[in-house]
Amino acid sequence: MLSTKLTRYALYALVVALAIPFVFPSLWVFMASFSTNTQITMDSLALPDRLYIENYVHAWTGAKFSTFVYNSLAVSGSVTLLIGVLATMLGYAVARLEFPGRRLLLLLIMMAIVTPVFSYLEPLTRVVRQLGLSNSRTAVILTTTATFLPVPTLLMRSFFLTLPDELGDAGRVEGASEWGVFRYIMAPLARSGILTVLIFAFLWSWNDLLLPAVFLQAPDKYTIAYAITTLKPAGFRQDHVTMFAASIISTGPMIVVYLLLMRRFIAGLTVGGLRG
Amino acid sequence: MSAFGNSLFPRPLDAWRAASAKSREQWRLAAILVAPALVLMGVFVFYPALQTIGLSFYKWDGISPDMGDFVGFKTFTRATDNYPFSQAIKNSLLWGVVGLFVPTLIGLVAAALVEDTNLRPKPLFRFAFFVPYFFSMAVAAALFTRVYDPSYGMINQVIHALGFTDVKPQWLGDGRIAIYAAMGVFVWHETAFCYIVFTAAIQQIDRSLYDAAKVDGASEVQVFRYITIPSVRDVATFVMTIMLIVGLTPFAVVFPLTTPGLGGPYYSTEILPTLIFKKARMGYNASEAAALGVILLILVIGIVSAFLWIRERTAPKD
Repeated sequence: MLSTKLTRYALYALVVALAIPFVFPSLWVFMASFSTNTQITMDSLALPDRLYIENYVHAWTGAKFSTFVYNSLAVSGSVTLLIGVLATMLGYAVARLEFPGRRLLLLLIMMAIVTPVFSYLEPLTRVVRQLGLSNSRTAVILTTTATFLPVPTLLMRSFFLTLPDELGDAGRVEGASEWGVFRYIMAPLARSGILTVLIFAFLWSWNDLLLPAVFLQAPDKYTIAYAITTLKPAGFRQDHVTMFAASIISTGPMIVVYLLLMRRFIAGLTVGGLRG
Repeated sequence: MSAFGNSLFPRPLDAWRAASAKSREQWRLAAILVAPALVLMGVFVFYPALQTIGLSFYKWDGISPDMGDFVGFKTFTRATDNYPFSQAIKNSLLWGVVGLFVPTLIGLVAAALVEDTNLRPKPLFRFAFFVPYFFSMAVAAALFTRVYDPSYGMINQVIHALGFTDVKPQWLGDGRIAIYAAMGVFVWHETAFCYIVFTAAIQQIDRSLYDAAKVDGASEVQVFRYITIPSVRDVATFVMTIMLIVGLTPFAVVFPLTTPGLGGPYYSTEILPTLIFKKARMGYNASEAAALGVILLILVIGIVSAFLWIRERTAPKD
């Protein structure tokens, strides 16, 4: 009995020790976001004498993070919508339809996954310039959608593959067209897959750094993740608290996802992405 | 091979004539469903990806109206025969190895510790290991410029508070440790991803396996070794592949950590993506950026294929 108790304590100690490096920096940032720059420079481990909510007010208005959040919402919202629609369509086609060139298409999608954006970064910027989309949120939306699309497509494909054939055939017997089978039978059944794709797409584009950094030059168009990385220590007057507060603001969508959808999110991830 | 080739490139017209009404209808729908995505990916992925290969054989600055001269492999020689490049390759490879093993292993062990034991409260521990993922990788890296700060930064303040008053590592300013500090941010952030995926996978394992093992008197370690690890093998391959790809291109970590004025002294944290970004965006050297792009492409595809091949070969047969 004693030994099981000892094992139990040892396990607790092990898990806690393992968790500390992951929790502590986040806690520190959270605490410091309610502190003052002077306090941080003097003793950054100490609790602030009161909660400086004004850090958040300043980040939101003074440092223009309301604009960056708006930009991010516009970009991520558009990307999410586009990827949700396109990945469902493309995923259904490669999963459930027989057509010539399907294997070639699947091969292209696979190749796109392993091709890093960096490898064609320069020609991509030129394409964007030729289309007259330089320094625009549209450029970020379109390039993000195109480069992220392959993974959600494969996710949707494996979702559609898990649906039984009989459902589609039953619809066809009842006189449904191929479009009807897709739109009114298969797509509604893949709801949880589509939800997973929407969440992924939103978080990815919300968090992405590269494409906003490449395509946005005017600061009033920056997305929140990019804007935070531009708030670096510059000279002697460093504004730490604004950056900490802005970082906490940037976690918003992730926290919503975590609180509201965690159960379904994990379930969807497992069914669709990993069994395929 | 020829059978494969035929199905890969079928002859559309003959096939159309021979097709039934049902398959013709499927083809039409497929065309409608595929076209928008294919156009978008064609313009923003396939076309530039093909261009990068052509571009890498020319000498071109990316600004002049004409493409410059065809110089064959000279661009590759010029792009690779220098110190920043050898640093970038060394760091990228090391980072790939770290990505493959470190966050995956910590994530798996943490997930097993929380899910396979009777620790309480589980939601608290799940939250704890997931916390870094609330921040994006880029924001995490930006925050770690403060966490790593030699004077007020969290780590050195903790070291100070523990009584080591004369130990003050310059985490990002010291060329010998900057790259490991950067990898630390990567591990900190990506472990959360591995953890959450492994948690989902372990929750799917049939509980009766564990009960049977317990009846047979298996220890916790044996359960982990002989039930948990084999059961999550496919998930582990998926997670490791993602970590390998992200680990070979950790731009979102290095860029915020080490742009001018901070860290990365003398190319010590250089990786291929940062080199490419600098040449493409700041250095006005389109050809060299393209050549490095081709090298990165070969590196990533080669290493990922090799990894998947090894996983396939070592898979247990049943």
